Amino acid sequence: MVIVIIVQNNVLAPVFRRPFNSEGAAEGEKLLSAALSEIDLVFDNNFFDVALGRGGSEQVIESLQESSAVEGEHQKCCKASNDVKMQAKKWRESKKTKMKLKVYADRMSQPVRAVIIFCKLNGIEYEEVRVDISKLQHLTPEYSEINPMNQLPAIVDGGFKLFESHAILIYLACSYPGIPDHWYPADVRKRSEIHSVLDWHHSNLRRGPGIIYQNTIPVPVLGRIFNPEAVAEGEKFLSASLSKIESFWLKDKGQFLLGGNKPSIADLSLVCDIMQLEVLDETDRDRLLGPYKKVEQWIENTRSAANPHFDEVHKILIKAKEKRQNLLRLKGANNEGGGSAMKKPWLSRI
Amino acid sequence: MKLKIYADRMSQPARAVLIFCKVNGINYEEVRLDIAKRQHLTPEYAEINPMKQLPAIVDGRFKLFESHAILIYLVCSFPGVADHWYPADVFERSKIHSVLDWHHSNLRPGPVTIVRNTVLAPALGQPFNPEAAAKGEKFLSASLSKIETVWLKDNGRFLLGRNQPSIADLSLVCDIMQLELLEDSDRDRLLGPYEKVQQWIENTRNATNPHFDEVHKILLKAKAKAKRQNQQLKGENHGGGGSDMKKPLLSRI
Repeated sequence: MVIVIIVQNNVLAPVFRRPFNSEGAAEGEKLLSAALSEIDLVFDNNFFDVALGRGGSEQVIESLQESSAVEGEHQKCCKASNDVKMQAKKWRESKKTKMKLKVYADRMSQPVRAVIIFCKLNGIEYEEVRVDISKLQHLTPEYSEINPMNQLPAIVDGGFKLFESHAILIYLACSYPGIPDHWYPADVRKRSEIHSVLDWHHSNLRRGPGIIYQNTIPVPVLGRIFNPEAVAEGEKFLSASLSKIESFWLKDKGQFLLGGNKPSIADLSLVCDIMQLEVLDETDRDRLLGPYKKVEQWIENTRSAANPHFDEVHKILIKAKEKRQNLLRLKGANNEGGGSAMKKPWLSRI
Repeated sequence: MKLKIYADRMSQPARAVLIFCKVNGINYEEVRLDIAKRQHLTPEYAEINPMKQLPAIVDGRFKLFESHAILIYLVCSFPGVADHWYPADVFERSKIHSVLDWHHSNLRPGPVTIVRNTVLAPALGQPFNPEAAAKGEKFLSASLSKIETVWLKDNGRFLLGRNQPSIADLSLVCDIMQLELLEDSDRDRLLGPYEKVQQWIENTRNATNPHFDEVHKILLKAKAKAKRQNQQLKGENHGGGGSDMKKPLLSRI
């Protein structure tokens, strides 16, 4: 019965024509935890047997059939019911382990910031293990044990290791209780669209700010020098990506990508990438972002939705920008101000 | 309304989606678009996928692009798809996401860069670019090395030490299959150092046959056509390669 309470208020709410009720679902979870502590993790197999198309009690079959007029939708909900089973299992696992989640991070990395902000916003307790890329700490044998690809971020949750920020964000959304559905919806179609954005991001937006930043800010130990040709290439790439976000991903009425009125992990991931431009001079940053009004508004929306954590996590970019400007002043170049009449960048409003 | 898949079988991610549907008995209508004829750039196709890439699907009124998103959607939306393709267990599923994400920035660019700048250059109206191809080869070797030592490090027939294939196996292997367009000797030179990778490709092929071979037949034809075009351009006889290494998969189809 407690499982019915959870699913009817969560993933199966649309089938039973009810609104999502996170409080009702949370109440159900409390009852479930009490039951799980005494019984084996078998659940009420009748319900899941029906959900998985393996027969079950007539009453449950009847109620599902009445609620779902379209066979295809029923099948989708059946698949979604696995999420509940998954969540309960992960909740139980999280009760067993006493070890706090570890997030291996360098806040200069865009995907790292997305993971940290997500954890802070959703009250996920974690230990931030700082790995300084500029000191090549991500290349040590110790860190290779965590992530053999030697990149950031990575997490260790109990004995479970994971890298790639999108995989991490999805894992956290599915494994920790109390995370609002809008971050990674249970609805298969909404979720698929978010996957689509995240995949597009890899080959499109992610490359732009990263290429510009890495070829503008010299880091000799990483072999990075100022490379104006590469920067120009990165700018071209960035403009094409921003144009697609402006005209497609933000084409619907909504504050966030895909016409959403609340942010998803896709919003957080993409905006953190664009924030890398904050280390540039204001005139350059404004020149790159200025043509895209919807993009600018969306960035502000995401920042507002994720504050105060968004600003706190991005403070490192202010320091990086100041350091760069000091370096340039020492070399005698005049990089101050720029006299741009455009909107002040966010870092100066933090 | 039947599921529609917009595909050019010359596209690696399109092949992964088609094979997945065939293996899992998902009914669909294949809408063929020819990239070489720029059919993916028409205004009609832009209505389906404004990014103008393949594959894309339309399921009822629902449109979706990006092959990994499509594969996950199909697993979650069609009945009877076995769990091993995209496990319900959050740990296993997360690892598969990790492979798929890594793939975007690592394996995927390698084979594409090589073939676009060599055998497929004439078909794409571009000049041969051996420098770009050499960069692609370096990239590919680094990725294959990571697959050999990380993703295939556990004792299993498939990625992540698993004994049944997932959507990650299908996606990555279809990308590597693009190398079948090259001369046998080049393909063998690139894949030869990686024994585990070669075995894994064979395992994935066996697990998804006869559909894997049927969908990849297009590469045989494309290879023969490219060879004729290149011979006309270069005025040389390329011949068979004379490599002692394992025969490429296409010649066993």
